[in-house]
Amino acid sequence: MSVDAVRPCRMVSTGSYRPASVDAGQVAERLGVTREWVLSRTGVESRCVAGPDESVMSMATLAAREALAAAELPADAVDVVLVATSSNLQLCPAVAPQVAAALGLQVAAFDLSVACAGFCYALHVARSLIGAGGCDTVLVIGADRMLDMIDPDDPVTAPLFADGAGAVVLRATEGESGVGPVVWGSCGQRSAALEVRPHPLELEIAARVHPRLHMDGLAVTRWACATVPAAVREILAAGGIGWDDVAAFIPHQANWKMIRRVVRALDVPDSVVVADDGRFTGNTSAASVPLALDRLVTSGGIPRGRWAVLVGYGAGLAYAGQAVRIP
Amino acid sequence: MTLEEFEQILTSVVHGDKAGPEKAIRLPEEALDRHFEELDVDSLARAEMVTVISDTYRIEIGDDEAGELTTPRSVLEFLAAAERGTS
Repeated sequence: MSVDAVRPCRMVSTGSYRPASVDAGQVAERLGVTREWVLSRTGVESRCVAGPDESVMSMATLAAREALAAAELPADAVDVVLVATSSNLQLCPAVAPQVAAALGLQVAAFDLSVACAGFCYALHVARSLIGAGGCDTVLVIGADRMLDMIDPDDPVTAPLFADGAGAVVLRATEGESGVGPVVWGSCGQRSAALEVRPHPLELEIAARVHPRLHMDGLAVTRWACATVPAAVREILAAGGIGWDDVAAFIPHQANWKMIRRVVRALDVPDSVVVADDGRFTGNTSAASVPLALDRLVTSGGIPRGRWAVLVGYGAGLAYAGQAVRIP
Repeated sequence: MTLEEFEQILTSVVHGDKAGPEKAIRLPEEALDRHFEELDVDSLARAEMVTVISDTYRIEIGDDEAGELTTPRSVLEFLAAAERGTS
């Protein structure tokens, strides 16, 4: 990894919270299709579905507690709490201060809304905060309740999206940097390809219309398949590493079919583990990258200290990614 | 690409490779100008359709061109023009 201009930090632990798993057969039955149809289009065998008491805040807090426990750190070691989320239906206040309070903290806490790219954006913000010297330890959480925004009868979105939260702890280190430079960007002119409609201000209260996430699968797939491989090549170049240095590739778990296309386009060698958490968890938006990372870390399937390449992409349209040393 | 070949591609992207004959998509003349959404070919299936056509016929299809492939006839005409080298 190239020499960092900023004060170095590293990821010291991961944590996760997954609500109950629901088999793809259930959504297939609702849509009037077969389970095989769902699997052939999405690769999603089961999805995590939150219950009424599993809010974005409560899931984020439980994932954060697990990450702190894994790091063997008391909550009061945390200087800043960041929550990447775009599905908290109560727009104000932000989720992060409530998570901080649930952890017994009164530290700086704020949300970032960049949908499925949100966690990687937040990771870079945390790295920058530590790099600037303003803090030593940042809790970075991705949490979403996507099913609140999904039309259960929409065959494009219903078989894919899910609920959950993942968290990591980032700490300043005297040693080598464990979080590489970010590669990020956006394409706002294509924002309509993945958006919640109707706009709340267009709603008549009496109409009781529930805004839902609409996805133009063609536009999103083509953008992602063109953008993500290029971004990943930049991530490797920015960090001065090659696939030989990488133990795991952890893309946003949008859709297993799309991930396989990206892997083929990048010619990822067989020695690199490709995260497939989405097949069992679904697309949890901002939570998907940290959940996929946590599954690999806790399963022991990837060696600590080696590099993992993370990349998030989705509504915005926006993307971000970086290499991290596996905690 | 013949109409029959296109029907096979659509059947595969909408119902999967193992779709039985009862799932076979047919495109009579009156269906050719209907939007794919009306024919139960949703946007994820269209994404797959464009990839399959691009790979099968070795044709580069740009984002704008892909976005304009909204009816069966638009696809057939696009392919015919590409085969003539005029797309």
